[in-house]
Parts: sequence; structure tokens; C-alpha cells
Amino acid sequence: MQVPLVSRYDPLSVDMGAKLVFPCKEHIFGTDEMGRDIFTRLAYGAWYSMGTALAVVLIAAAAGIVIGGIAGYAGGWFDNAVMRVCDIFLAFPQIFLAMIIAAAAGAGIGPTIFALAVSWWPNYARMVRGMVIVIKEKLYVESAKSIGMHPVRIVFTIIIPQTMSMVVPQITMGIGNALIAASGFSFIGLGAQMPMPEWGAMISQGSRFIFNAPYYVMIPGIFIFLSVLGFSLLGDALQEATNPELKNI
Amino acid sequence: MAKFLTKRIASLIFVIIGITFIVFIATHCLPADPARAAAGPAASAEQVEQKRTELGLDKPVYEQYLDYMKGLLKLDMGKSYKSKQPVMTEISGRFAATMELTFLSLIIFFVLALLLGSMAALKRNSWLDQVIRFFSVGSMAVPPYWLALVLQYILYYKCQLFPAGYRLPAGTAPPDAVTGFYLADSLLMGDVSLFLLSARHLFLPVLSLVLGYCGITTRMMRTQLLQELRQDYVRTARSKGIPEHVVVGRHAMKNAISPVLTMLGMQAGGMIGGTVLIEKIFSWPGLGSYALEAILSMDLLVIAGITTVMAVIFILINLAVDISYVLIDSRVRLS
Repeated sequence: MQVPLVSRYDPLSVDMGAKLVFPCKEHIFGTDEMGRDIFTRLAYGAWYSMGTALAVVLIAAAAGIVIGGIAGYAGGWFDNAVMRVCDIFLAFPQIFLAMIIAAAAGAGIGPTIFALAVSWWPNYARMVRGMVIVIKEKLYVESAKSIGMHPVRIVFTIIIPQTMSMVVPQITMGIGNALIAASGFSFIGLGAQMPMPEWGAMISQGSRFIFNAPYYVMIPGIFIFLSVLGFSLLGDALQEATNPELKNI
Repeated sequence: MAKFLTKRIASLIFVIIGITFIVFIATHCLPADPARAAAGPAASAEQVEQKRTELGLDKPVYEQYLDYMKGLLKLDMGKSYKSKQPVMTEISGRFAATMELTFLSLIIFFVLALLLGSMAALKRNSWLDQVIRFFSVGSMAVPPYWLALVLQYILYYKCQLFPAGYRLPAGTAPPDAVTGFYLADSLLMGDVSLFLLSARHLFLPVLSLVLGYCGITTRMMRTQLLQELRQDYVRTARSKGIPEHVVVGRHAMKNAISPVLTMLGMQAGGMIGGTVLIEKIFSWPGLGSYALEAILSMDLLVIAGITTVMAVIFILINLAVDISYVLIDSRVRLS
């Protein structure tokens, strides 16, 4: 963590003499109601916010790839059963499913990651399963089967790597969506808890002072916006790189 | 069509049963003791046990689930531990507020996405296209709840153009409930000033939802229409001298719209979920803010009830989307 290099303040230390200071030379993004430097908190908060989003997407994608890959290759009743379970999960407005899980597991970053990953894996499972169904008919998969390769090895060493060109851009774009969802959780009090400097929690806290200290809400929101935009553009670029036809649209 | 509908409804029943099962299991894994929550913080251990028996929480989980399902079939979702009122009564009191917000946002969002997406496609690479593309990428990246706060700050606090929240100002009598939608009910009463007042209160929450969710659908509409405009049938139609507005409006647009409708159905879920945050910000007395209260106070049956209702609405919207495919696209009808 390199934050001390760019800020001399502590993200948690309280200074009631400097509460709600408007952005100035001393505090470039101002201070919060406890006199904490907002720039410092945003810098530390990046670890929590980005880390949460990354964890959600990686767990959901890993589960989705494994389940979708096996279901697509196995076919038959197993594929049917997995797809029906996906239907059920996808039929929930995701935030409600995640809210129930977060309520069951308690508030905090850990339960938020678990809740969002549980509600997101079916998206990846569906996508991977669809690609596996097409790839498993290819000649090189038939060849692997004919030399007696174990089905699990075929799925994980031959088929799944072929899906990555489509999955990786989706994962990249998913990080931005996860960042919005996780910060939304913190905003309603189910995610990161104060005084943790997580961006959504900061917006939630700042919303109480929006009319006299609007910068307290605006700045963390701009950070989320720019981060999501970055991941979205990166995902687009990766998608165009793997599918050059998209460049012409 | 009848065969398609029967098949689709049969699969929906399966999904709804699955949803109730997951909701029930998740709400019964809550770490807080619902019997303690229902009995109140001052209750003795004996009173808590009495409450547990009274609520049927001492029965095996599968029996509780069967009881819950039997109740659901009779539209009985039990009683809120907090208010002691039937969950169904509590939900129906707030249902119309959320639905008015959601459906109005969905309609405006769909029309706006179609309009902007089509304009961008038809004026490809012009300044208008660049502006719309910038708008749609921005809309996809903005957290809707943050956008709501920004709009509230600018349009309520700074410009004083719209109210900060609630469905009507304090002390204003709501219109007689026919549909529960204030816009429709005030029109039915012939009260134009009440209609305008309701519309002003709806403006900021609806704008937050529309701007926060329409980016991806706008982008998809643009992409789909551009792809359709490159198809051979469009070239043939143009070469036959068919006017451009007919080629685009009656042929290309019709084919481009199906995938956009799928996206609309999926976005509806996000928007229904988004109402939780938007209702909190605008003190909107709907199901979203009620769900949040219920989760924070561990009101088990209310959480289960609202989630089930929201999931069923989401499913019904997607069923409507599926039916609209059949009506719009003859290829789907024939398959």
C-alpha cells in the first residue's frame, strides 16, 4: 500500500477541529464530518472498493466457468438441472437475492462478496455453457476423446481455454458492474461499515451533508464513475481485439 | 401461440417454486433469532419460546416451508414481526408506489433508448452519434444512486425546480385509490393540479432510474440497427425505391428490436433492484424502502414476501417480453 507516499494523513484519525473543510490546499478534496482527509480516505478506499469488486467477479466467474463448462460438456439431465437452477437465480432481481444473503450472513465486505458472487455466477455459467456446446463438436475435441483423454481434462485443458477470449472481456466489464453493486450495498448499510474508507460507504455518510458539503458525495462518486468507465473501455478494447468485426460497428 | 404460452407458463411455475424455496431457506439461515425479534428485546426466554411455537418456528424447516407455500397459495404470507400486520396488507399498501415508479421509468427508458440508439445508428460517425455514444458509455458507468443524489442536489437544492422526495407534499390528500398510481388516479378524478403535483414528485426518481439504466440498451439498439442496415434485404428494399423511412421503420427496426427487448427484460431486474436505493434517497414509500427496513430489522416474513413479489414481477415482465417477440418477429412465431 503506497498511500503514505501521496498523503501525510491517516484515513481513520479524527480531527474535530477540521470537520467538513471545503477543498483547499491542505485538504485537496476537503474533509468529512470527523475531520478526516477525503483524499486519503479515497486512496485507501480504492483497495477496499476495487478489491471487493475484483473478488466478486473472480469468484463468480470461477464458479460459473467450472459449472457451465461441466454442464455444457456433460449435456443431458445434468445440463438441464444446472440450467434450471440458473433460471431460478437469474429470475431474481439480483440485488434482492444478494440482500437476502447479506442479511443472512451479516453486514460487511466478506458477506457482500459472497452475496454478489452467489447471485452473479449463473451469468458466467450460461455464457460458458453456450460456448462449450459449440466447441465440444470440433474435430480436435473428438480427437482428444478418441485417444482416451479423461473428460475432465478435455474440459479444463482443451475446451475452457478456448472460451477465454470471450470470457475475459466480460470479466473485465463485470468488475465495473461489481464496483457499482458493492458500493450500492455499502450505501444502504449492508456492505463496508464505517469508519472503513470504502467509496460507497463514504457516499452514504456524505449524503447526510449533501446540501452543505456536496464535495463529500460528489468526489467519491466521480472516482467510482471513472473506475467503472475505465474497466468498461478496457473490456470493450479486449472484445474488439478478440472480435475485430466489432471495430466496424 | 397457445402452445408457446403453455410451455412458458409451465416453466415459470417451476421457477417460482424454486424462488420461494431459495428465499425461504435464505431467510431461515438468518443469524438473528426471528422469535426473539418478534417477541421484542425485553421478552423473557419463556416468552421467546412461546413466540417460537406460536409462529411455528419450532417445526422442522420442511414443514415450515410447506406451511409457507400453503399460505402463499391463499395469498397469505404471514404477519410482520415488527408491525404485527399481515405481510400481504403491508406489501399491497406500498406496491402501487413502486410499480408507478418502475413502470413509468421502464416506459420512458425504452422509448429513450430506442430513439437515441436509432438516431445514433442512422447518423453514424456524426457529432450526434458521438454525443449519444458518450452518453450511453457514461450512463453505464454512473452509479444510479449517486446520480440520484447529484440530481437532488442540483434540481432540488440549487435550482429549486423539483421536490426532494415523497409522492406528494405533506398535508396533500392523495387521489382516491383506483389503480394506486397517483398519475392515473388524479386523471380519473379529473384533478389536473394533483396530476401535475404527482408528476413533479415523480420527476427526479424517474430521471435517476432512466439515466442510470438506459446506456446499455441505447448502445445495443445502435449496434443492432447498424447490423440490420447492412443486410441484403435492406439493400434490395432500397434498390426497389422504397422510401428510406419505410426501409428503416418497417423493416430494419422491426428486426433490430428483438434483442433490444431481451435487454429491456434483463434491465427491468436491475431497475426493480435500483428502486431500493432510489426509494431510500427520495423517501419514496414503496417496496424498496420497505425491504430495506425489513432487512435492517430482520423482519423475516416481510423479506421473504417482498423478494417473492419482486421476483414474480420480474418474471412476468420477461414473459411479456417473450410474448412480444412472437408478436413482432414472424421467425420466432414460425419456429
